[in-house]
Amino acid sequence: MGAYILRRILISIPVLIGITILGFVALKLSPGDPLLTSVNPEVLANLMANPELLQAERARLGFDQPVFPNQYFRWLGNVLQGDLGFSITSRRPIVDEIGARLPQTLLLMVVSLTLAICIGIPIGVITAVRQYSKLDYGLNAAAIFLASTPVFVLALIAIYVFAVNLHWLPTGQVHTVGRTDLLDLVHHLILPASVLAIVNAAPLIRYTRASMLEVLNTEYVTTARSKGLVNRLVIGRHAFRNGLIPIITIVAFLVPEAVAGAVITEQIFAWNGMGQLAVKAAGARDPSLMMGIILMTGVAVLAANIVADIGYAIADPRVRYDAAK
Amino acid sequence: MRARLPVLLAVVALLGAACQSATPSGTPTTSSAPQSSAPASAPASQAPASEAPESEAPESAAPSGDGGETVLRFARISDFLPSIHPADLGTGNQELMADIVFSTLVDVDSDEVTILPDLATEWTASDDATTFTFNLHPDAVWSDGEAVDVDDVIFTIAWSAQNPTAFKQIPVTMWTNVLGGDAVVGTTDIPEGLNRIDDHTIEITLKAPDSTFLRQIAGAVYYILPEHLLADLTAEEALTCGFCLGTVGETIGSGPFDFSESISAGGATFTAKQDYWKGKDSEIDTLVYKIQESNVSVAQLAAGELDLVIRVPPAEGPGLANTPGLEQLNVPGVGIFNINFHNGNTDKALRQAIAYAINRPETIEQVLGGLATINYTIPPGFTVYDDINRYEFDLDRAKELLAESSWDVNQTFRLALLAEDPNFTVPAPALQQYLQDLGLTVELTALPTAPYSALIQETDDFEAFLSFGGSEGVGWFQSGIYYDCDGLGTSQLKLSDERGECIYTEQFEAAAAVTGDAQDAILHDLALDLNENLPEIYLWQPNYLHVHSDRLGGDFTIYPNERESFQKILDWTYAP
Amino acid sequence: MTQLNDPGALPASMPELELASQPIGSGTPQAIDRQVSPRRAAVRRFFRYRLAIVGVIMLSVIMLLALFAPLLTPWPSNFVDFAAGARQPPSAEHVLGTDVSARDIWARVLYGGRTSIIVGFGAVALYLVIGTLFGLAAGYYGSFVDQAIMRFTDTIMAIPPLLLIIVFVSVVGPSIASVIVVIGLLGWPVTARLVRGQLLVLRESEFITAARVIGVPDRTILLRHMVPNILGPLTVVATFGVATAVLLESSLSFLGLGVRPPEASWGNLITEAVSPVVLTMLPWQWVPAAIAITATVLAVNFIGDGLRDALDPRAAKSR
Repeated sequence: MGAYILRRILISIPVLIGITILGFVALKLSPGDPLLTSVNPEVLANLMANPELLQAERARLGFDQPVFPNQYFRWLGNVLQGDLGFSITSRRPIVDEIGARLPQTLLLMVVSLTLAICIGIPIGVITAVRQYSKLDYGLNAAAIFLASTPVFVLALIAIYVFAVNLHWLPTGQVHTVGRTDLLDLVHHLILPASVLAIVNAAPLIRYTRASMLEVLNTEYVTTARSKGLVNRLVIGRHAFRNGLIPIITIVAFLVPEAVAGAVITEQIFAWNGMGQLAVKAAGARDPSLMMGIILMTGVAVLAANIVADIGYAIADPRVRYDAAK
Repeated sequence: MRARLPVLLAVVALLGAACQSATPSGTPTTSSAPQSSAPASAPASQAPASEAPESEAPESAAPSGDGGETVLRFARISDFLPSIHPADLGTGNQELMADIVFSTLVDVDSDEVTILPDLATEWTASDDATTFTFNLHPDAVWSDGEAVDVDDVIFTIAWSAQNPTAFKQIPVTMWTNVLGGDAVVGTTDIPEGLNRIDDHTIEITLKAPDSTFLRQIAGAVYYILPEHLLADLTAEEALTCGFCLGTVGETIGSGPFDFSESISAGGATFTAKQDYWKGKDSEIDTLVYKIQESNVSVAQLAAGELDLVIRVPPAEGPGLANTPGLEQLNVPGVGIFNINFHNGNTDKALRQAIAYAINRPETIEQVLGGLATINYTIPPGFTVYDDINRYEFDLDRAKELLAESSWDVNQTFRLALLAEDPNFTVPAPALQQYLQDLGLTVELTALPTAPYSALIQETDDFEAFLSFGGSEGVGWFQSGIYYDCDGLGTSQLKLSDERGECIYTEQFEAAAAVTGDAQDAILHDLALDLNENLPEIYLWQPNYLHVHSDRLGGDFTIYPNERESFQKILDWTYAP
Repeated sequence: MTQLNDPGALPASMPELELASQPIGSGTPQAIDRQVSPRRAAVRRFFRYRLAIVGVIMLSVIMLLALFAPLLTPWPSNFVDFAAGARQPPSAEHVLGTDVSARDIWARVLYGGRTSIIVGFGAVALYLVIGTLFGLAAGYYGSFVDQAIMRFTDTIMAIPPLLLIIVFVSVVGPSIASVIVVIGLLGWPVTARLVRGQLLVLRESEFITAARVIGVPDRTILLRHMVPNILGPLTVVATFGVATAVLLESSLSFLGLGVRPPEASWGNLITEAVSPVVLTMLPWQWVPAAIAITATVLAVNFIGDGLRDALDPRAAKSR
């Protein structure tokens, strides 16, 4: 098991490097003076007054050197020390900007993913067990329909119905102005989390259904049934256990979004998270902010994949040995 | 089934953990320079260890909160620059905050003309409008207890004269025009026009007569700075120091409120001072100021989460008409929407052709729903004299002029605009269509703020650009800063290239030197000149819509130049 | 079936997923219809899936509408109708009313459809080509090249697509062309993996080894054996890819980071709807475009499902 984990981590390293290259490319391709995003604004203000010092600083930071490999490795060194540069729109360090937004995004995504799983998997199981029934067709159709609707349309409709017409829920934001209590937070969380949960549940339903069906039709399940084992036990113990594997995969795929934030949902609900930050950064052409978001997201995704691989290995011991191939 | 229970437990645990980390995030900490930006959701209830004296935080924002505490929650448009020092005061939001936390020598009333006392209780002006004497209020103090006296006034004016290039946004011409101001640039000397009579009396002499002096120093950029805190501030530090960024505990002012939450991209919070030196405390205890997108503000208004929104998009008016307890003020705006030409574009025939080709009344009526006031191609704030050329829509005349011009119709006419502002994007297709009817091939380039500014300030890749803003409609003198040869950097202002000399500045100064009919005569000539020669086509002034709760009363009113409305905050009441 | 529908992006098809979801020794052998050629059998299976037919009809209608736009409306998409005025409700002259700038909405929906459909198909075409080339290179050359390309695909797949696209579009500036290119450049990994997977299977198979031993040139092997095998899954991937691309483009344009006004695209026709007044009082402004996007994506998904069933009968059993 330990060797397996180690192997998975080692494979991730080139990908990690690839992500840093991607982020660096995004940074370098953006127009604008790189000095603005690398130097502390307080220091920069003093430098601007003195052209010689400015030139010296440019040289010191290596901006006159070839982009690759020199500038890249220097930049990488900074990143590893926690220096992601400065945002040109707010003049504050990127780590602060991202740090301020991350909790809101994590909250939204954890809740919506959990909801999606709680809705999607049971429904997927039900439709698989009751294959070809009216319930199956109905739920399936609903799933396809929901998966085809753009998320911003769903969100707008949800706001229209629940917030504007019925006045049950607020139209957006994390908190009501001036309030900080948990109840208020939950009140504001319901709509965006539900919209996201529905959007994520649709493909989850279909995958769960498909994998459950594969398993249910296999010989050893039919054998178990013919042995007279109670149906529920069969489903619960054998089918579900085997169906767990693709589900772990899917959850691992849904997790990347947890860090990037639901870009569109956050925008519509004015949810103060990473996704909204990304859109602002893109609109303002703020290169280091975008680079910082890419880096953070990539690293988190890799971590999630490794955890998922571990989950795999726990659920299905064969994976540990097959992976060695 | 069995697998579900662990999932449920995990959910609960995750939810709990996530909530823990979510709510207290971004709690503003004190004094350390650059604050991490607190998210818009940052709890206003935590202003720990703040050094500002009576800063308390509200427990809830219910208007009549616990213990009868009054909280005013308001919002304005989403412009944001992270600074409050005059050197970097570029947006209406910053000016509004400066009015809340600082004091100017005088204020202006809601008619935008009558001068009211602020730091100065009395003042006199010499007959030639060159020398002004101010008596400061004897009890005026800063938040940290230090007295406000003439030293602060001298410091403020002298620093501005010594460091004129520090001012990146609005030039403080009233201060730099003090007698001897030119001589002290780059030094630490005091201009000779500043004469200290005693601790609370100062006499200011200008280098030339200026009858607009009193009115202009009521503007937020002219607020008085604390000498005891900023004496050693360099020009570069003015952009980034703790005081300069609006930081709790560091930004010390003499105004009726203090910061209880530092400035961030989401806004700020203010607490009223107790025993304010003017003898009257604000009846509103806390101000919660939100800087956010308009649609968020509108939604919050409708839900009762905001009490006042200044500059709601006028088109949102009908949607708010059904919300009880709200009143709407739909007024002509003081900002002007216009077409600016690249300063290398000296072809008057082309500009006039375009002016004749755009049917302004039709656009205002049919596209803007009547929510704008037409402008007759002179700066707003000027009287519309009878002999001004109104450039009424005349396509034939326009085509004649185009033929006379040196414009090659095979060339593309590139028009740049701001992508995110409906004031630009809504009429842009109409403008494009008029120009195409004229025979031009128009290419619209819509950009977000940063690239748009970069395009028009640093490149030549455009023929013209749309712009909106300013507060020129307040009065004729407000236009003066735009026609200064040193300008603000945007390309339309290098007017000296046209004539080889900075003629408009002289005319503005001449108008300021006199009053009455003499002034009117100069302004009349100036208007005719600008009407003919200015490389800008003024189109219209979009309306402003302000929406507020009907609980706001007392002397509450929104000024034509809405950002100045908070000068009278002490006279507002908020009924529970 | 997948949507890159904002978050929750499940990839179009994951060979690993399918591999992982099979317990060892699964499946009952399928009876093969020996009388009819495999292609005709596939077509028959496709048409047995009713929703696929519905999808084909819907998509055809939509594409015809977009194609014949000038015949279906007298108004150009950017024409400002001063006489009618802005924000007008549906009327005889303007069947869906006018938008905030006094332009006809029905015209903009039609012409916007052209944009959205072009982007959808264009991006997919682009990444099919790129992905196939990379996949062939990876599978054919193996070892280092293969590993490098696979790590490259892992890298791209590690970042959520919408985020990556937003970043790069903002770097190059938004426009129709840049959106097509960026979606294309970031969508090829799945295709590449598919192609590579097929190639690897071929390399292992005995009769290919035999063919090579005989001396059949590689190119012939590729053409005659790989291409037919891969055409099926590739078509399925491409179809779902179109759905994804249309959703991506509309999301980008909605955010203002894709096709910019005054050009019309279904996404940017909905941007106005964040304004409370437009959302509640002027539904004709945004609802038509919303329906258009949903209908198109739905149709494409139906077709994709049908194709997948038609081309992989084993999967059909678990439907």
